[in-house]
Amino acid sequence: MNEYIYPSSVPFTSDIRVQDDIREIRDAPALRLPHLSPLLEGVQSLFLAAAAITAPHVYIAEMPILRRSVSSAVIWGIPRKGRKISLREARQIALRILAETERELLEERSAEARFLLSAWEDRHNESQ
Amino acid sequence: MIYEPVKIDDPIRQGDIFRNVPRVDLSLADLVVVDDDDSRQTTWRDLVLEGSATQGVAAVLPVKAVMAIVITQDCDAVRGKYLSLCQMDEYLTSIGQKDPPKSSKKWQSLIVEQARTNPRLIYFPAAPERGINERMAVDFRVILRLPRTDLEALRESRIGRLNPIATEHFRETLAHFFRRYAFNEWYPLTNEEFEEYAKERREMIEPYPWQLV
Repeated sequence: MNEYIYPSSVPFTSDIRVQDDIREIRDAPALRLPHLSPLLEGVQSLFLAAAAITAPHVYIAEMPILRRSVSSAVIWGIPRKGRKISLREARQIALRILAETERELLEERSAEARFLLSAWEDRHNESQ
Repeated sequence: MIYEPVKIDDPIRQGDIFRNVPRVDLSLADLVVVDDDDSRQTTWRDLVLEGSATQGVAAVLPVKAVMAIVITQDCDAVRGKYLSLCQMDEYLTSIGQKDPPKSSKKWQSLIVEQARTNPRLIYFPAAPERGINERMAVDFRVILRLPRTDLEALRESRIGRLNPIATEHFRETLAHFFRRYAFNEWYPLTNEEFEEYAKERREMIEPYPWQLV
């Protein structure tokens, strides 16, 4: 399964295969380890903890599936960059980007139109 | 004028004009992504470096309803999964002019001059009976991509289509804009002409070897 998983509200889910994939993931039983002795369980936990701490980079190809497996603890080892923000801040940033896009678009169009027209006007002025 | 009505169940064609088409804006340097429990402000570069970008992320992005015209050609518009549209804006705003020309003579001069010099924009007249209240310009550099089936579901937002003559001019202008390729327009100038040309340019331009002799 190589398709990206999108939430159902996004139009990409009109792709039936993606819907099936989501259903498959949702209905999949959680993976269970075979019964282990207390000693082996301890070793297993230590191993997972060491892996989570020491792994410099982990490539997670199928995030939704791994969240249901014993590997899930490793996922939290991925360093995520960025500043935590509230939904209100997120909205403000989005609106600022919208305003900047509008302004830059208009400025660019105006500058281009004026530049292209200037050669025309020069020619008109000189011919008069 | 140059528009014609379109039935609600007519297939979407090149030159169909829609209102309320969503335009999503994006800044790679300033991106809000939503993780499992919270949102964070980051950059696309960091998302690529941390490996999230290739898996896809959920982001908070601004969306604005704009008027737009279909540029996908008719065959692709019938069966393609996605359609492309170009944004339309008020004409005077698009060319950065605040005051409208005061006479028909000046209007025609402005429209023709812009059409000859500015391949990025194509002019469309107002048609209040179709909901196009102002003179408009299509900007070929602002391209919107939408799923065809979603746009078909928005057919009530289709306010008309170009008539055959306007369609011919539209597709030729569209093709011309994307068929162009960059060249340095000063390449055939003499040394003296090049020097005069360079004086008028803000950016640094280099002469060709034959302009140094």
